[in-house]
Amino acid sequence: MRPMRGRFLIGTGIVLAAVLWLAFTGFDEGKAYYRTVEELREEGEASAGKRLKVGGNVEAGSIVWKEDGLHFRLTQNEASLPVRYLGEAPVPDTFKDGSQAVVEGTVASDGTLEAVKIQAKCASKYEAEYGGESAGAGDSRS
Amino acid sequence: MSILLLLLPVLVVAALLPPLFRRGTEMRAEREDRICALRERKRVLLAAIRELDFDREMGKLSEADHEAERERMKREAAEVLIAIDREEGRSDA
Amino acid sequence: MNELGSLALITLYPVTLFGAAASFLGGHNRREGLVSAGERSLVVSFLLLTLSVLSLVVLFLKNNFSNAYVANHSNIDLPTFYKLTALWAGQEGSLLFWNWLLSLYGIAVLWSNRNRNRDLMPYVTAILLVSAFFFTNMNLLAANPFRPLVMDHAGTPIPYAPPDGRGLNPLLQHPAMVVHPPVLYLGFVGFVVPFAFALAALWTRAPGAGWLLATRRWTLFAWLFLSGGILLGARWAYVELGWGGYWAWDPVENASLMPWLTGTALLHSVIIQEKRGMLKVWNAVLVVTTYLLCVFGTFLTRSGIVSSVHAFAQSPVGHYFVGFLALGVVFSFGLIWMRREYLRSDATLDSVLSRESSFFFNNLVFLVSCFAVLWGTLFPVLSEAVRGEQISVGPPYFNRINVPIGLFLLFLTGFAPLLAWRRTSWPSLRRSFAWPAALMLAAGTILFLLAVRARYALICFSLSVFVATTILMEFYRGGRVRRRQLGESWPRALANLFLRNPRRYGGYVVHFGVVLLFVGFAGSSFNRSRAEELSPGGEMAIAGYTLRVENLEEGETPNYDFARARVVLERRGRPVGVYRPERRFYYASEQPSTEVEIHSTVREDIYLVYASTGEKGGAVIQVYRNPLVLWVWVGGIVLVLGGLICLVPMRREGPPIPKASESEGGAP
Repeated sequence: MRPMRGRFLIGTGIVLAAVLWLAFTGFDEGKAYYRTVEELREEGEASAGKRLKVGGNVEAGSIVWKEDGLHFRLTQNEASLPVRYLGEAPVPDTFKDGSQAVVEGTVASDGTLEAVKIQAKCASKYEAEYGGESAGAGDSRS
Repeated sequence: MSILLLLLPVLVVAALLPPLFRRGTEMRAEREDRICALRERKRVLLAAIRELDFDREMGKLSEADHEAERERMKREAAEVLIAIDREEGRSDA
Repeated sequence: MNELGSLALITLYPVTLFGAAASFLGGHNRREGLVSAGERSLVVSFLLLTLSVLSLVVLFLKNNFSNAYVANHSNIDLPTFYKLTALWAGQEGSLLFWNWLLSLYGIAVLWSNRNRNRDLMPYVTAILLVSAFFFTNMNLLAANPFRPLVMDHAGTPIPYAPPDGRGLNPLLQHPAMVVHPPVLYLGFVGFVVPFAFALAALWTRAPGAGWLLATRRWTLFAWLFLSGGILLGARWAYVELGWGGYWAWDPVENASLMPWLTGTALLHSVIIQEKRGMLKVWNAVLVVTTYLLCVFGTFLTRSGIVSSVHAFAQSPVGHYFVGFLALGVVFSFGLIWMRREYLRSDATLDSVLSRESSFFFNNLVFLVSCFAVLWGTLFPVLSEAVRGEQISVGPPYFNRINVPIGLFLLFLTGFAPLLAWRRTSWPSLRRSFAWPAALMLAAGTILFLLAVRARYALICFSLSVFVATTILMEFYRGGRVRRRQLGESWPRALANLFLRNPRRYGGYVVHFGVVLLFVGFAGSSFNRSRAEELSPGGEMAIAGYTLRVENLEEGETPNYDFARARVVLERRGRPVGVYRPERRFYYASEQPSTEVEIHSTVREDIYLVYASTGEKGGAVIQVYRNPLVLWVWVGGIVLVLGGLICLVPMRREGPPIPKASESEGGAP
């Protein structure tokens, strides 16, 4: 039985090694760093060229369609970030003034985030509701 | 509505408690579960032998492999049958 | 109604606890009275949960917006059908629904085992009730569906909600989304049955593989619903989300894929335990892992731990889930460790070239894939914990790993059925292998000459031909044997193949569905898309199609207003249809919604989106050409049908089979 077990170990080893290799290469290609708008402001040049995922609120009234894509601003407290959307897919239904959005892309030389992907969820609905609820639950427990 | 609300816990308690006061009946013997397991094993073995024969007919197995494997399964099936007889004999006694 | 539902939930709390304790003690001390009280608790739990669920449904139907859950997920003008299904539109309701399904499974298990597995049943009941207790706990403490809307002194709800309801998320107002959650949940929850039986068998050291056989159907049933749920989810994403695809490696999607991967591995490896008495520990681990991944999947979707488009916001249910999962992991794996002697294998692997070993590699690869998906899904959380920086991995990571793994599994799908148990001789393998391999090479060459150059797609199409051929050959060779031995006609021989061994031949049908799915997946290598603003009369061309906007319309319904384009689609100059992609704005939820239109053929889909109203007043139309998508849906249906065949009970002895083999096998 010994040589048999050896062969299975070798087979298992090959599978695992192949997957690890794939994981590493795929990982480098697909990774993106999460930043908030504020963090991005603080970092300045350091984040240029990195693939980023930036979360914030869509500034009310900032959404403009232009020839070179969709422009809008993401805000968080005082900080604000201009974004230009170049992606292929139409923007999601949940993307509108005031919604929470996560955009993925790189910062261009003029400080605009050139996004290729937008994810958004409606702030008004789930956020407020559960925020309120968890605060309430906390109160009742303390 | 409020009467219904009061009634609910009462109903629940009434449904749950009676078996607790039933006079102490023992559970069925473990032996029956053992016989069940053996019968199940027998059924699986018979099905496996049929499938093995079928695989030979389909040309998936060499004659020698088929013979060896069938022999092994038959031996196990025989053991299972003996075990079933023994268990059942014990339950008669 | 609010009070009734609430009270039912509160009553449930002691009932589940009492029942779990009674069942466990009853099983341990072998007291019939306690066991029966435990089983009654399960039935009572089911009744209480039904009462709870019904109360919530009535609240929805009566538009009772003093209930926070109803106010947040419904509005007066919502169609009645969606009011019913809004039950599982949010966290509180869906957890209640989960719990109800759990108790439904519970009584089904009780009933089907009323005369069987009596030694195991007390423990099975106890485990089911502990699970129910956990979900009840969450419903009461963290996500109560019967919470009244909070009002300030002036009687205005906090946070503000319109007096006639906030409305159901328009994305959820779609038939596929209505059935998707219950189907998926039936899958998720169903794995609790094999889980409970496995733990009960380990605890009692039950003889034989009885628990495996007892739960095989349940596992298959749950797996079937899980597969159906995933496919419906993909379908929903495709027709509703309007980005032209059906799978995005979103955390929520991954959450349902992970238990599917381990569940599929389990369905294969139980066959080995049944036939050869091997891989017992492995199976125990798979059963436990699958159920815990189901709970984990619910947790991912419901707690918002990983930010995702459709994950719900952060909420306190997370702690309860983590607690339950931790408890589950420690208890289950601890038990497996304590019972490792009981789980010792009866046999060892004989040859690399055998059915067993192909199953071993199948399992290995499924598990590796599951782990890779888990790792990728949780990476933002893990990197945050370790490096203090959230890093997400995108679709490239998932595709890079899972595409080759998928292709390897596709290969095994075709290869493994050619192998015999224990060992396969080269000559017989060569005989089985020749045709499929030849056709595979031929298909690959032809496709290459037709200028199909995408590497993975080429491999995938060729392998699909290979697998499809092996499956057809299995039927052909099997039918030929029956014809030769029993003189049956072809249709009859094929029907009997299914009836005699539904699991094997149903399994082949499932595999065939998988082949169709893979063909559809590979089609996505050739997707194209394009967007343009078109005024009435404007035209746009894509991949041999021309689309012309005839006119633009606007209008409104009580629920929403809409802008719509009437588009005539032509292929090579011939009209193929008129489509009306639409963009809606729902009043109650203040949300826009895209209604796509799809021209679907065996070759390709033309997917039309009314993206927005453009600057010149025209419609910005986004069009996708997605080849072979229809194959995914057809493949999904075939897969589910195959699974249903596997559920058919095996016909023992129909028409007489050759006497010799029967009497020999039966009475040695």
